[in-house]
Amino acid sequence: MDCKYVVNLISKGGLSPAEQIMLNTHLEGCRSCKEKFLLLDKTFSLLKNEVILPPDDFTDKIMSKIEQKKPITDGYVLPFHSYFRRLIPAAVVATMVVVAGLIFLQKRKPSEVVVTFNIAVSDAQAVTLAGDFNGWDTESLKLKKQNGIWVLKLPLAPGRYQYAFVIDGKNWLADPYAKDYVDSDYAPGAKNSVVDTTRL
Amino acid sequence: MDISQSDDVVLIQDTLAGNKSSFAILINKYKSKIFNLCYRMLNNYHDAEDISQEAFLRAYKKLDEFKVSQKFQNWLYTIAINLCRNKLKRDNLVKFISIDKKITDEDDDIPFEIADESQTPEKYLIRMEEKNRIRYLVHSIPVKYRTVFLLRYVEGLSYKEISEITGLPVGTVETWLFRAKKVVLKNAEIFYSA
Repeated sequence: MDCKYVVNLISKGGLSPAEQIMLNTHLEGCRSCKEKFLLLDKTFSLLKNEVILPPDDFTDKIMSKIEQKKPITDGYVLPFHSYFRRLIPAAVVATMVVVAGLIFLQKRKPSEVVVTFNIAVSDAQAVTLAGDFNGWDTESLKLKKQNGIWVLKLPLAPGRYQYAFVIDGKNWLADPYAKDYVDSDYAPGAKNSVVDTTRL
Repeated sequence: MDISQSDDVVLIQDTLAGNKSSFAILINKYKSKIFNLCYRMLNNYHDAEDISQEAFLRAYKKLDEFKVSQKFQNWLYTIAINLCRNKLKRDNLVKFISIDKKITDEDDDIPFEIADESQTPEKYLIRMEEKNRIRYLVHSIPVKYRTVFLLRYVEGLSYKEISEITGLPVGTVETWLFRAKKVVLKNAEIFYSA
């Protein structure tokens, strides 16, 4: 019996007694097939026995999102995407240029990390930052305009945070250079940017 | 309906009545299963955390759509699996694939790739210890087969339950399990061919 056929037998569920005998006979004499069979078996055992546990604050994080006040959802804006045109008035589209998005790491206290949020937006009167770290408050974290770029340095406890920029109190902008994005809970099709202080 | 399921229904009804803490109980009950499944699908702890949390949030938002005839656990699996598949599709659009070996399934347009692309498969895998070999083998299964494979061999579900969760006919579940195992066996050759 050739090994190719044996692979099919091993992969099949529910062998007949005759098939079982054929298989066992082959495995006794064929080291390579036997090792594969054992590996498959070990795979099943490992998958059953090795349970990867979620972090301790798993439930708390979800419940806090459920309790959270919903941020303003109209006017979710994404640069470089078609949503952009749909949600912003044409005049603003023509003038808005998104350039920056670099995030710099500076260590302060051992427990805190200063993250620099940058974005270049023309024709904005005010830019604020809203995210997990401030309960998605659209007013409290104001960026300062420096040489055409809006900047804010924010000390954060180590962790992973979702955020977005808010332009003139009403238009939301994702960070074009964020390392990761997640779907926003509150505006279909929109994305929140993600910063992970351990992976800057 | 078994006891566990009727407990779930009570908690769901309680949540819908406005008692959010009942949902926290549901999360605690199923978080390990959902997280573990997502981890096995995505092979990445942070991604598993994000996606499994998202699964519970979606479940919360759609709680009024949950049908009592279903098992809440299986409903959660369905949500989680869809999110995992979407995540894998998105990642493949942006990720640069740096390894030469790419195993694609003829029916599935999601190519497989190894989570750790930093080394070529041949050199790296031979030195892998068994646990990691097995993780690699599981992750080498094309996404759609991996789903049924994990539901069967991690969660221990019946073909019928897997069929309900995935929407696939039972015959397809059987076929895909067969194919998943064949892929594992084929890829296991890497460890023995050197």
